[in-house]
Amino acid sequence: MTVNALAFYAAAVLIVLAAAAAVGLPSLRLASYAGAATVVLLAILDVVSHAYMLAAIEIVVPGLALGIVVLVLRREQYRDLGASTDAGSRWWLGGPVALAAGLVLVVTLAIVGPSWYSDIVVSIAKAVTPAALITVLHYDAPYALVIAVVLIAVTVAAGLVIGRRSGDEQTLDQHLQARREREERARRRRDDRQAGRRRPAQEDS
Amino acid sequence: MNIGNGQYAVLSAVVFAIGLYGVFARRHPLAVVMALGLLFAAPLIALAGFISATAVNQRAPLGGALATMAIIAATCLCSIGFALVLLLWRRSGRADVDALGDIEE
Repeated sequence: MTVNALAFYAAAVLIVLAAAAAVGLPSLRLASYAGAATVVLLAILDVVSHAYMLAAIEIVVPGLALGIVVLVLRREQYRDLGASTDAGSRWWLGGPVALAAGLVLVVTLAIVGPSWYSDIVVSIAKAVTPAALITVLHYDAPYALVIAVVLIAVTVAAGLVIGRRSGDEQTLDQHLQARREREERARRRRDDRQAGRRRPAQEDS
Repeated sequence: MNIGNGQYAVLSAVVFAIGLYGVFARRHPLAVVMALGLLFAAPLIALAGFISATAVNQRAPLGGALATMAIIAATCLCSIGFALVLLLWRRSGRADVDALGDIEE
């Protein structure tokens, strides 16, 4: 199937720029916007490649996870977690490693060209009866669907176990809250007393 | 000009390298998780090329099934990473991967 070259290169350039922004921007908020843009651009690349169902999955699955992340980060106790000014302080480590890995991969793939996977795989893939993705997952590869469902269930369970607050943390939070309320009451009493002392002095004058 | 799976693979390699840079260079755990997400997303581009090369009548069952699994696995891994970041934040109060060494039992 033919892929529109112009659309491919436009999507490719935007993907690289968005990915670079996602890892390079110091503000975590802007970086996360760039990350979300990368996901959307990958879905657009899927559309360009005529993989429409995959594009929908590419948007829906990470989109759901991203929504949960945003909801959690809006909580009071995690508000400061999003503040970051670190723009890659270990560039001296990440730069050479990424450059070396990228060079090895790009040079190898450029030399190998279109045959980066075996023709046997292509012939097997083409021999499979063409069908819609949802049909394949339901009838031809149900194990893949089952594994995916189990993976999601395990992730939700593990996320809840890791992310939940322990009893000690809840008690500590309650103590901190009570302390904040006590301090607030004490401050108000102090302000009232000072205001009370100032009032008779003003009346006398 | 024809777009083959070689172009997809090169793009995939570039995105992989960018993700690798983020994992090594960033110190904020959320940024590291996001860079890991890019690392996992890179093979999806190669898979899109695979789908494009093997599709018959706009339908590519094998590549599509593989890519679906890869998307779900990548999202699950990033979600677990995010939960670990929350745990790190609550235990240490620091948003720094170096704080991992300071966590006490």
